[in-house]
Amino acid sequence: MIALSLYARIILSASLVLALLFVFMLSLRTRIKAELAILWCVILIPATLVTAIPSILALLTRLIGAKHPASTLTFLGLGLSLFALIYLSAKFTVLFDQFKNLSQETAFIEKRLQDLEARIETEQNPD
Amino acid sequence: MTTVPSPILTIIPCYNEANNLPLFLNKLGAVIQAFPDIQPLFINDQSRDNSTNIITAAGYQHLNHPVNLGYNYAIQTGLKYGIKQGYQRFILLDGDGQHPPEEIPKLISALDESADLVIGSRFSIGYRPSYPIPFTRRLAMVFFSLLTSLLTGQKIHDTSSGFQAFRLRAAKAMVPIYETEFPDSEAILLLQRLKIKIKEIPVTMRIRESGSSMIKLYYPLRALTGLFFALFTLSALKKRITP
Repeated sequence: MIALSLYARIILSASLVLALLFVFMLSLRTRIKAELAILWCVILIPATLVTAIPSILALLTRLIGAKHPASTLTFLGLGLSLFALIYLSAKFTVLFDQFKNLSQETAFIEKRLQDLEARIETEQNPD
Repeated sequence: MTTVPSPILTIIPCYNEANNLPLFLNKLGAVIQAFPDIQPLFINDQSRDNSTNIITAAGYQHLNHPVNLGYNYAIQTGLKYGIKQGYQRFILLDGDGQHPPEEIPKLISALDESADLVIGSRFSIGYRPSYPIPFTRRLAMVFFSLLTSLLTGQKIHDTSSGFQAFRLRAAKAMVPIYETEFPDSEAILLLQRLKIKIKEIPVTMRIRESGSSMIKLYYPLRALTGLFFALFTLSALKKRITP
């Protein structure tokens, strides 16, 4: 097993910490929903720990049967990204459904308004 | 089955059909004169051409989507509106002129005779279409027809026909079905399981005069996936039907 060099660990961990800070900043400025910020924290915090602490990475490498810790990191990265994408797809579906219902309701209200305007006009000008 | 004279909501989804609408409206007007029960409802799916002005000028009732939602959701909007307004009978008809309005009375009589859902089929005898259809598309249609017939036990030649007439019971069942992207075979499958009486009659259809069809090359693959998932989601869909 070829362990990650200290330099690689620092670069990877620093990138993940930066991503975490970015999420935190967005959250502070209410530019990201709390639910999504939590999702990214759930992904980024374990990823940072695994990258920064060699013993955890070695343990995981043995558990998944990988040859190199770098493969474990790639596997984890892909797995967590896939999880995030599926979660966001499900979220998108719910939001689209709400958006579609709102659009349909807007169309109904617009029609009702037009019918009411037409009725008022007829009542005001019966001829 | 008793025939109760009541207005028939004719749902016409419309997206960028300015070139097809004038001729279509002329024909529709003639049919309405002969059958005043037919009440058209155009669903303008945020057309970017002159369709909105043409429909408004014609004076027919219409619903405008504030954004483009797509063909299925346009139909769903019409169905939801019709159910809310208490309509008992519905007709689906495309605004591109492919479904001739003069064929509407045929669908209505078939509906009043003995059916909850009448499908206007573009195939008359066997799989001979009433207008030229490219070979590959025809092949896909035959495949879905055979598959649907096998799953339902009822021979349906034209599973993708959007020219349909149905009663309130079928309309309520169809609202959640239109959440799916290609509800053709899925709809037939679900409606048949709900013991909704389906009848298919041959009608004359035409090639659209202008514009492009929404059916693309990947349609068979998507429809097949849809049908596969429908087999697993039928019970979930059933639960979403408004009693």
